[in-house]
Amino acid sequence: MSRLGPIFITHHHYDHINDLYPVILSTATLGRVDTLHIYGPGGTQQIVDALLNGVYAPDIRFRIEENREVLRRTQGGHQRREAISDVAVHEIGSGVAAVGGGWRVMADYVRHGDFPDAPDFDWRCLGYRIEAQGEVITISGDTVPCPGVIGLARDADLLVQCCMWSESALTNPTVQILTESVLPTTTQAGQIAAEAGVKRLVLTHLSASINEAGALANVRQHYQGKVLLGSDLLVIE
Amino acid sequence: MKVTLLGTGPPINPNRFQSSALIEIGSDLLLFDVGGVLSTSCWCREST
Repeated sequence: MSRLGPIFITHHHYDHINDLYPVILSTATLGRVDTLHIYGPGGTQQIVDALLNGVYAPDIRFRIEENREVLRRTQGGHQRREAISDVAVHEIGSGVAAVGGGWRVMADYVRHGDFPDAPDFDWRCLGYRIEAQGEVITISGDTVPCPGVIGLARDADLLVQCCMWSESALTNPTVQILTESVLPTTTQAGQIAAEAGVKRLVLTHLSASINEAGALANVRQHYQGKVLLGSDLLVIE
Repeated sequence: MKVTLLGTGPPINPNRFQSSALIEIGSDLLLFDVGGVLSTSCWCREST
């Protein structure tokens, strides 16, 4: 886990950043020596600053002082706890987000909430396209069908696509409204996959009401490629 | 590239961790989102 990183954040809903500090902390305490790079939409720096310099400042100080005490008593080596705060945030938008050894990550804005009556609310959400080893994988982020996710997923080998509801949930008027601009149904996930021409689709961000048979039937209304219902710790090669 | 879905749930689903995906490219480990209980699932993954 010390090798984990860089980290790419799609947006700032809590269910996408809950473990940001635990990961920053764990990579450091397990031996991270390099700067941890974190990429995300505008506002990511403010969140990381709040975690490291506000919410968890006493936790970080505790670990540094604890480490000093152990070193003082043992005169031995110990892990470098100052690495906890060795983090670089990159606030990004549409375009190349990061380039590494043989890989490139592209980002674009996706549609996860429209607030025309709140012009002061700067809410931005990203999806990512990862290109490496002659393959393309797209992480949709949370989004309904939109040009951003279609472009990121164009001809991808694999699309990891969020969806929240099955088609049957549209009988609920609230769900119907939310599927217009916040989160898609399994049917809309199939629309995205078909329009982008992806080779394989994996559904994620799944509510408890979604079952495999119903989800696949919904997707098949638009998309005839390979489909998987995501599950925790599922490995796809 | 190798993808591991660390979390596939929305904010509230007791049967799934929250959103996170790990992509391995050679020795690089790219992490996309860090939903709740991610640390635990990384540990699970390393120990299995």
